[in-house]
Amino acid sequence: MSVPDDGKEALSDLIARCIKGDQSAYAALYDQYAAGLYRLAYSILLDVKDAEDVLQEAFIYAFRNLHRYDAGRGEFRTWLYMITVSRCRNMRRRKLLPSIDLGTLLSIGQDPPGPPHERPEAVLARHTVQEALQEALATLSPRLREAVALRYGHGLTYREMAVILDCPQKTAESRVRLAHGALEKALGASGEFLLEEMWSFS
Amino acid sequence: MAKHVSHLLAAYVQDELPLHLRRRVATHLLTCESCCLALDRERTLARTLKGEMPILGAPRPEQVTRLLPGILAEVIPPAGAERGFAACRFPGLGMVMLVSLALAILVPAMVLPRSIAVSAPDQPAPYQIAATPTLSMTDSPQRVLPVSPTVVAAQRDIATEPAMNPSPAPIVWLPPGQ
Repeated sequence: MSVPDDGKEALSDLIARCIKGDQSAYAALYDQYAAGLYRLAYSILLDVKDAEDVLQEAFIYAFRNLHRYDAGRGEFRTWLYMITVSRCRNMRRRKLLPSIDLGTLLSIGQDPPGPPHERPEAVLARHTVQEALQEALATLSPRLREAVALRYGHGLTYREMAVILDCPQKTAESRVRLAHGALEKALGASGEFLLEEMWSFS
Repeated sequence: MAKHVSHLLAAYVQDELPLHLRRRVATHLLTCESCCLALDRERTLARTLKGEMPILGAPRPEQVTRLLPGILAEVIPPAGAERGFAACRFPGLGMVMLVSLALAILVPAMVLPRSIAVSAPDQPAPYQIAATPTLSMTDSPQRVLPVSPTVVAAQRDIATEPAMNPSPAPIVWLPPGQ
């Protein structure tokens, strides 16, 4: 995904204003990227609290180092994703053992926003599928989860993924393929049934 | 039947195979029922991931908004709090204090004379060791070495030499009244 020239100019202007200390520019940058980065952190860590912590750490680092961002070396979004993935890895190291917030897993009190005007059966099916998918994602190794999150959650190309994950492009490709196999196994027969049921409603 | 192509199906579904492999998979699928079923599963999974991953963990607006003040507080310090009073009035004060502290430690160490510590008492001279008679515990007949006149004279000197550091007289405690 490439940013149009107008967007690039607006972005570089925004970054320049941030470096000068303009608070509204910081807020504008945050509004533009925070939700995406949070989703990325959540898909990798599968924990609301950890994802929020990572989001905060990533933005603090990015805002303090805006002068180091070089537009010639890559997109701003890629730079932010790199920082976020790196912070997610740090968080994982800190925690050592993976833990999943039960409330999050069961999505108590927070339904993910689905497509508008969905039938109730479809909403229920989607809810069940989201749960099954999260459980399946939790069985993946962190590297495979990163690959799935970037590829499907953010629609990145393998080249972009290779930059963010700091690995060759072929490795990024093979991680996605391995993740497919692992997810298929984790979802198993019940998962397959759920997916088919959900797609029958849509 | 040709080899199964299940390991290529993920790439096939995502249209990432080179042409020759794509043809091989397509040809195999015409005759292999198990690979066709695997392809269906792969397509369903790919469709689910494409549909569900973009909304997985999508935050509520207030969830990310409430984090912004904390981030800004870390990045933009409040005006005036950035530098203390002393730093504003005396910009080089910190450096001057640091240099003074370093000098206070280093200068005395370089200027003051070094003290030499002697840890062990004087060793006996070799001739004193040679003059000491040694008992022999062997069965062989004891052979008495002739003692040279020099050694005899040295032994005599040692015996008559006053002690270099004579011990103080022993303190004798006497009960009161004696």
